Amino acid sequence: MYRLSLIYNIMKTKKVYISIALLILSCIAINNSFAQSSKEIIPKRKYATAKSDAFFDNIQVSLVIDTSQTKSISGIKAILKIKNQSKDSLNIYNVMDLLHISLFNDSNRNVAINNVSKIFIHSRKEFQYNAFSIDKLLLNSQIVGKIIDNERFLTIPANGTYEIFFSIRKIVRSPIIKLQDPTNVIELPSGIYKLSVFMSIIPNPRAANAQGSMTESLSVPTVTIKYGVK
Amino acid sequence: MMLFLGMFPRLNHGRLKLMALSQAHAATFSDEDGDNPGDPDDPENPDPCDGGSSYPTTTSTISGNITTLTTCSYNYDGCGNYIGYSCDGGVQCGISSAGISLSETSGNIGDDVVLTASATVVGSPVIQYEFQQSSDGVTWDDVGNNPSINTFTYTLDEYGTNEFRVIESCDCSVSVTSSYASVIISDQNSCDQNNMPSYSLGQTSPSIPIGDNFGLTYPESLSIQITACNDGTNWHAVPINVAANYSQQIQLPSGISEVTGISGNTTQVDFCAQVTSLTDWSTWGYSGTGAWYMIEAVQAHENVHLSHFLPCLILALPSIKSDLYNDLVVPNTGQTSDQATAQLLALQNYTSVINSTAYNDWRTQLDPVVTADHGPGSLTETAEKNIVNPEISIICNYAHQQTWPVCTDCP
Repeated sequence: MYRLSLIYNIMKTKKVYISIALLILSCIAINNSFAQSSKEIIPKRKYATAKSDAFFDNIQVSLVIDTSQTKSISGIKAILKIKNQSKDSLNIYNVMDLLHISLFNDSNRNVAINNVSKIFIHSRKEFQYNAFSIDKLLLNSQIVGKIIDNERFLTIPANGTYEIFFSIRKIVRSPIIKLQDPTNVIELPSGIYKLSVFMSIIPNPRAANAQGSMTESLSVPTVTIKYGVK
Repeated sequence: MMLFLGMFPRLNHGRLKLMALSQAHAATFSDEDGDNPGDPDDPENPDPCDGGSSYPTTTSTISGNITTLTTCSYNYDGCGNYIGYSCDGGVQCGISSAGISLSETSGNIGDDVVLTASATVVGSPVIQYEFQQSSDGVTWDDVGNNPSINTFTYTLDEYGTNEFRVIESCDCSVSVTSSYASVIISDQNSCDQNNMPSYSLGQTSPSIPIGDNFGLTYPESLSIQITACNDGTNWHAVPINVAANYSQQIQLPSGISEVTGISGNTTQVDFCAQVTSLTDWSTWGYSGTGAWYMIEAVQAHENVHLSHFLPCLILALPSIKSDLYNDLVVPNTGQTSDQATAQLLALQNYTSVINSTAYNDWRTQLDPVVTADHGPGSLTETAEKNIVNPEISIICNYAHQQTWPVCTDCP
């Protein structure tokens, strides 16, 4: 009886372990939220200043996004990956200041909040993005414990990769009604959205490897996301 | 370049002789009494060489476009001997430069454009104007040869770029050709990618609240009017007019008061706090940690950003035109241009092409420029300091005159 009880207890313990393991796995899955429908999209180069190819060729950007996401308080989640493929560190303007998100709803209206970043607003206090939230920052898969909302520049070490986890939690109810009306900002409702991401990479002009004014503009092809719908 | 007009002096044994005239005055004279010619002390025996002649010669010198007419008198005694010359200071005449201006820079077939010639002159030249037109800047056709009037009205009759110049000639110097000025006539239904749309920048209400910040000048949106062009197979969207919309908000955030100066709220109690606030600059601009600032400086900062909006829109026009052409397409099924335009407007991706693709073309040009507006020595910092620094000087000088306590932030 005791042996049976022991075996039962061991099995129970194993069940607990298995349950814990499954829970951890599901937590990881939820945390990253990138399941089988996850896509890594390489943006197209829309524009680059002359004589700057070598600099930008060393920067590989991609957007990782799950095209089918469950509805949550986090909204639509995505990861912006920026890899420095050169042997030198790169110092660039904070890409999140230069990120423009368009989110078209099923009525084909852009309901994204304009990303009024630090390059436009003459602020005096702690800055926080209003178009999206930055949830997590990884550098070479390690969590970076700083908030980059207030950073003017990002330094990517040689062969390093930044992964910026961000989420679109709120939208404007109607682009016609201006954001000045606080009732116009609402939680992202379930639906099918078309997401378009556009960004610029601009080196810090004072960085050692920057040569004059250089810009590369990247456009992520429109991706359709099922958010909270099957 | 030197040109000699009239009769030329010629050297002969060290003397200049005017050869043509010397034949007409070929009398032989000698000093028979042995005294000097023209001796005033010998009135009874006048020297045949007394008296003489003077022969004026005009020399024309052209330097650049200006002619200088110099008249010199070559002098001979009664015996035909050269005794020297004298010249006047010269009279300048000519057209230094020619210019042309047009009453329109864009138009339509059938429009009249007034060409107006201008000239920078020296002296009093009598100018004649010859207006020319070209579509390629290489081959020029006379369109109006007007002897004396500096304007000409031309009726536009060709799509594309119409270039005009004027050749100005005068009675006293060489002719001068102006640089050219252009009128662009866009064929709105042409698929020629070189035809650029008209453009404008206008203010709209802000989409984003300014919050407790100083200023926000934001590129809100683009409004694009389109038509359709037919390449034979498809109809493509062609922008006719691109209107950029921006918003601007400025304020002194909560807890910051306006410095109104020595005739306003600057007192012995406040002046040093005001100066300290006005000099409170962080790496990225005015820090706003003090209690005083000037709304005019905030406006100057925001106007720096705004100054880039239209130039960057103009730079973006080729991309906007190209993106609309490539992304908004319907098959040619024999429909009219208006019908095709209606179909293009109804395309599902129309909104995203206008609101996202075209808008981001503008931002592609704008963001790097605005990014560079901030930082030490930037345009915004200079603009703000151009407002606050004179105020600081006035306050500090006044404080010094009034023997107010020393303020360490005074320069």
